[in-house]
Amino acid sequence: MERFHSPFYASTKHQTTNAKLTLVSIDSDINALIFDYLTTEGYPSAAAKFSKEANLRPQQEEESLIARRQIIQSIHSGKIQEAIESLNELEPQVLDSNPSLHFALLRLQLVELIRTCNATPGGDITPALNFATTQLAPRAPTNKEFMEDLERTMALLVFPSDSLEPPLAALLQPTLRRQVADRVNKAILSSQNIRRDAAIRGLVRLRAWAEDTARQSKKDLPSHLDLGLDESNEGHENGHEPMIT
Amino acid sequence: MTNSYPSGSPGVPDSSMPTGAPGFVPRRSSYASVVSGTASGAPYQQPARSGAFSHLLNQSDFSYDPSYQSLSGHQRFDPRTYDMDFNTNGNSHGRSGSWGRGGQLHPFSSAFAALVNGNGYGGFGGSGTDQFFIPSYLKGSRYVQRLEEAHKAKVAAQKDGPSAPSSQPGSLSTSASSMNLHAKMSSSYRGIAHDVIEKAPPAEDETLTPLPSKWNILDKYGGLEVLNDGLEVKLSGPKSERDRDHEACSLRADHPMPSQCGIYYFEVDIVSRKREESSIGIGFSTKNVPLSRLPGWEPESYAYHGDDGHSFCCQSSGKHYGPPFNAGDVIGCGVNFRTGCAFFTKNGDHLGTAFRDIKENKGKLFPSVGMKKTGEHIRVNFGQRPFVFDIDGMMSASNTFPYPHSPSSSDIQGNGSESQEHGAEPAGHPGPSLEEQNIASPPSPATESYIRNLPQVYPQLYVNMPIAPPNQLVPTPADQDPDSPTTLANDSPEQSPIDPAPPGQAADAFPMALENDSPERSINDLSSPGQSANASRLSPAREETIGPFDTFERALEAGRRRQREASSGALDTAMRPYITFSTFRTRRGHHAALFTWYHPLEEFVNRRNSVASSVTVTPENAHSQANGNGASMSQASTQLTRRNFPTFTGLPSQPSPQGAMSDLTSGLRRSDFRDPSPHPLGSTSSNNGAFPSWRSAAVESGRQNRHTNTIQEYLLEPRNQHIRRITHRQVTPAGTHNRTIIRSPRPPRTISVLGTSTTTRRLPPASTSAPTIGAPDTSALEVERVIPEWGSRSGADRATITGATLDAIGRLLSSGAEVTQAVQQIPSGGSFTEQAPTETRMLSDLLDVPSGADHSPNQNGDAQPTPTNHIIGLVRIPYVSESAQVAILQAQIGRLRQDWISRETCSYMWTGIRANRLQREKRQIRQEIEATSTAKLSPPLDETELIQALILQALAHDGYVETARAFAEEVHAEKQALSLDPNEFVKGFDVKEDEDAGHRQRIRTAVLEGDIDKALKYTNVYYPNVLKDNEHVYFRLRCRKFIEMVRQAAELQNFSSKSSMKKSNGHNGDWYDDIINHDMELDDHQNSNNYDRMDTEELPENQNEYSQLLQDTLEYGRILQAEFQNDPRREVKKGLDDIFALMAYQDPLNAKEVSHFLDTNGRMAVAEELNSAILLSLGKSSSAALEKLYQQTYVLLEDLREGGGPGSLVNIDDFVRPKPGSQ
Repeated sequence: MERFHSPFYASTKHQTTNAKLTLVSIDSDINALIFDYLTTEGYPSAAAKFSKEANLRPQQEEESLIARRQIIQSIHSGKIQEAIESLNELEPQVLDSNPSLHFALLRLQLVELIRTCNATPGGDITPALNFATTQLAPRAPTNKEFMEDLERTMALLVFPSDSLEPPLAALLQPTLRRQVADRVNKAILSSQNIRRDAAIRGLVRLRAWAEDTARQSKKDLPSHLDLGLDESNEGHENGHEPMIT
Repeated sequence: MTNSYPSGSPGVPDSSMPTGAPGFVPRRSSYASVVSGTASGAPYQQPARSGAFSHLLNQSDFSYDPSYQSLSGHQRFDPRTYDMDFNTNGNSHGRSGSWGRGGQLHPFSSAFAALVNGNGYGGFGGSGTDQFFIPSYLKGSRYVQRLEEAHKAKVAAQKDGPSAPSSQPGSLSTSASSMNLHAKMSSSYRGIAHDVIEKAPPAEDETLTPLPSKWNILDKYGGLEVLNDGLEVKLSGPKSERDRDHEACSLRADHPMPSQCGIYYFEVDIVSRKREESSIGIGFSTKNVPLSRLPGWEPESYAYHGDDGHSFCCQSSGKHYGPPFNAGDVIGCGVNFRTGCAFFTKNGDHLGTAFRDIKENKGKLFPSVGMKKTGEHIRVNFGQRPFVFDIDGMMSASNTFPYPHSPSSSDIQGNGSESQEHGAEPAGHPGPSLEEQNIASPPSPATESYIRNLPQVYPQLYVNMPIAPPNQLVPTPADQDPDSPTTLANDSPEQSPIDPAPPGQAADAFPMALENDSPERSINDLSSPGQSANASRLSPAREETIGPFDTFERALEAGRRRQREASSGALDTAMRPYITFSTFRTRRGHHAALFTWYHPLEEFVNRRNSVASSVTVTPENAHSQANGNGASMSQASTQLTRRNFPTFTGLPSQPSPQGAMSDLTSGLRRSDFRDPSPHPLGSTSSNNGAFPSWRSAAVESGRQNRHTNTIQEYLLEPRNQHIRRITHRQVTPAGTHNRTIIRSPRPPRTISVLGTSTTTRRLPPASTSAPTIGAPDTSALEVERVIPEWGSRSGADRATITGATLDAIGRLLSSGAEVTQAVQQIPSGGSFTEQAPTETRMLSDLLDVPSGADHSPNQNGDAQPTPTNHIIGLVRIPYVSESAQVAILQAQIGRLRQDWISRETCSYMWTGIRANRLQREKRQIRQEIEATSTAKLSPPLDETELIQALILQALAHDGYVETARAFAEEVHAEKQALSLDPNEFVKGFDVKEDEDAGHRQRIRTAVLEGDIDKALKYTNVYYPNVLKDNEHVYFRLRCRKFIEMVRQAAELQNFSSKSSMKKSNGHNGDWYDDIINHDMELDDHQNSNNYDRMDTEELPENQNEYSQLLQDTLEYGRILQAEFQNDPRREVKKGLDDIFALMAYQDPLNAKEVSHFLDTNGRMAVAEELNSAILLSLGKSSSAALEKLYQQTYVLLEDLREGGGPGSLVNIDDFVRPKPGSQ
């Protein structure tokens, strides 16, 4: 317990006792981390602003960021056709060389079609059926998973949308969109030979892993290590006494 | 038998020992004769000899260093030094005097001190107490980084002692150098900021014990002399003291082995001069162990004893462990604190685990050595010099690099589902981690940045894969049970990450099974998001990874060095089979691999007329097999029968399906193979450059295997079912159906493939297609020129050949050639096959059809194609599970023993496995990390939301208001889009119109622009108390102002001096030059001083302004000094000293000692400091949550590093620094 009230966890910048934590380098790293995230995950306007404000050199051209963001945005909002078209415009080889991604996109498109017809009572399922037959069915036999995915998706048409099994219902959740969008983003990045994963994801996971492992090995930790994300929590924060030197 | 290796081991001196040698071995019972000066001279040979040789040593490559061995050999046996004895005598005594031990010192060692110091590792041996070094294998570990920091702080503190005069250049330069080092570590280092604040006395961290650096003269038993700067130990003194058998003399190192570094390793050279049985015990012990006993005899001590080769673990009876060791041997001792195991090495060969369950609970373990006989003499290497054993290779982790050949998602998925079908995997144990694994190991930032910037290839060199010589393969038991579920699924989830299971067990559980899949994933395959699943234990078996290298040249260099070492015999690698292996991925997604094989067993192979045959299945030839075109392969496989294992290289690359495939088929047709119909892939794959990722699998049949005539037959053999599967998979479009391979009921057994030929055969230009094709002729010719010599070369020359070959291949690659595949074959004298492959039809004839100009942008299109049988062997990227490896090696070693091959060879193979284990451990941890759910960190946020929140908070916190707002908007838009109900109100992040944020930003901007006055003013207006409460911030701001003034003055001066220079130029120079100069200077100026007011006034004004500024600066300096004069704090004093020193330099901007103070980066640090102070005064957290997360992670990892825990294999920097080196 004691140690976590040490300056380390008290999160002060003025510690002089710990030469190992060179705060200076943390700062620059933090900025780089943020910038890396904004660039990698495609937040063009924030990235541009940050590049200006924090005086960092842009890592990618803004246009490509914007294009990527648009594709992601289209997927997020369920406009898959649009996304596929602009993706083919931007990086034509991505879908061709990655059938599973292509299939995932098409499948998502099917889900969206089903969603629309579910939304309106007595909606017409023909568009969805047509789409499945023309687009998905020819691809499905090439891979068993494709087939399974397709079958599960088609099951959405069969069952009433309000009483779906959880795994089926999950298909209608926006998470699917996000997943597909992430995959597309990464595929674009890798086709442009750019790092695929934002470093901050690694850091966050490392943090979680370190805590898990430390707890498993019965290290002496406070019961809760707060990140201090919530400013209102700050009063209860561990070791958060202002250090006045 | 050892002697049969020409370039042999250190044992070789045995054979080369002149017959007269015994005459020079002193049989003196006491040292007195030396001291009395009546020495016969024999002992003084060494110094002379070593002196004579030292220049040779210095010239030689570092990697050769262990030539100490040969050196001592010379010393020992060279009679010619006889006449130099007496000269050296005096010198030696003079020197030994300086060590304060007078005549006690053996001159041998004192001369060696000079040798060592002059050996190119200079600086280490210099100052006795304060030497700092980093053992090569610990480089990059967090522990050592901390040591380094601590050391630097210490050095700085020493220099900064009370007597350090202000503005003494020495002090400045010291800090400058330490800062430069620092700057290397953090990309935007911030000059003085760090210096002033961090210059506190080094924090003595109780957990941060230094590494052992020498023997502890206070911790030794009488009779032992510690020589040569604490590295050498010699047992002298009357024998009577130790007459009894159980008496010995031991000593320990100055510091314990730090468990935080995961693995600690040191080596001991036995430099005793007697060839008789040694009595030395090498190991480690706690402080409690009596020094009158050999380590290992007593509780809490562990050692390996030279007299009997036994290992002693806390008791006086030992267990059989390794060979005895003796004078001339180098014994290494390594402790893996993570697993609690210790191992020893002898002359660079791993001897296997000696102890398990080593615990530190009784006390820290110190390296320790004990000896019994007078005259025993050892020298320790705690890492000051390169090690003989390849500990670096053992430590080098591949965890930061994505395995280019790790399984594609569907492969692993296939594996998972299969395991369920087979029931081989316990229910509830989800399949391996699917894409997780891939996503799991994001490429190291360095790699990434490299990939980004790389024009053509990115190389990675894998070295030293102990691979069975093909002819050593044993029959596979898999034949017996073709449908058994002993598949990968069984194998992949390893029970324990450390897998201490003895090989025997592994073999029982999984006899001879090998994964054969080496799917080379195309980049695009990586794109699937990870599914939640347990981390797979299925990982590629790769022994030792050197690299990734950021340039081809470096990979090449490493490969060559390896080769040199091998051929020079310096590292005793001649004893070991190894393969140098490199993979490349070109930008267009082509894959190439090349490897060279070096094997000392050639001799044996020759004698036994063994056969090695192999088949490589690449997409190309896989198709051909599937379509009955396989004759090529079978032919190749029989052709490859040969007696020799020459250097060879493989380079299959992936051509575009349309182009190359049709070329392929046409090539096949051309070559009159059966069934020339185009194979399916050619028609099914898309036109857009989509092609199956390159996969290769090699099948190898040993002597026992029946040789079949065609691939068809070969495939039909039950044992070769898997090849069919591979073939099968290959035919389907990539990514759709490649699980079959994993499902193969019997993992194929294979390790390597080879095949070479010296036959050169020219084909007429391809008639069927593409008249303008052509490999880049120059490169092709280069290759051709190189290759034919292979067969005739001997081992020593091989290195150069390989180098040249690598060059050629590199050129081929970079010129965009599509050297698909080729085979070179050695004329196989004494081959066991009836049909000696003289009329070899080259695979290259079939496949090496350049795929056309569109893929070879750099070549000149009009060159006539000269399809030559360029190179090159076949490639197999081993993708072998650990237990399978163990099994195979065990079987092999069994065979090898029969084959009367030295134990060293076997143990070397084992080393590879062990090294592999460690790497895997690292990789597993990495994967574990990647698989960790972040849900608990800040519920209910999921990972993406959490990161977004963190980023937003950090932005707002640090006052990047604009960015924060933009980001919030974008995130909001994203959420809006994701919500299914368009009318639903989505709560966005609320970036408050924060007055404070605005103020803080203004202040920050002012500081960043160098306008400190403005910043001070704003701060005093908005936050009147901050500067009062935070005096050090105030002090730093004031200092910064001074720095800015100096800076401004310096710029002015530079500018005016340049203008004046220009003027003079203008008079007698070219007007054109003048203009150019002018422009350039203006540019330079603007670039370097974004924020500064430019003064383009003419010279007189400049001069005035300059002197005015100088006045002001001095005046300000005086005020500043007056204000802080009486401040007792050291950092204040130091800060003042540093900045006032700026005045002493004529041109501080360009004086490297001080220029870093003037760097604009320093502004950032001050700005941050001020910002934090303001935040604190407002009652807000001074660091953003993201920062806190970093700090917490850091501390947690420190904790996990204790006792060699999992944290020791993780360095936060690998995670955090997004792109080191790119900025």
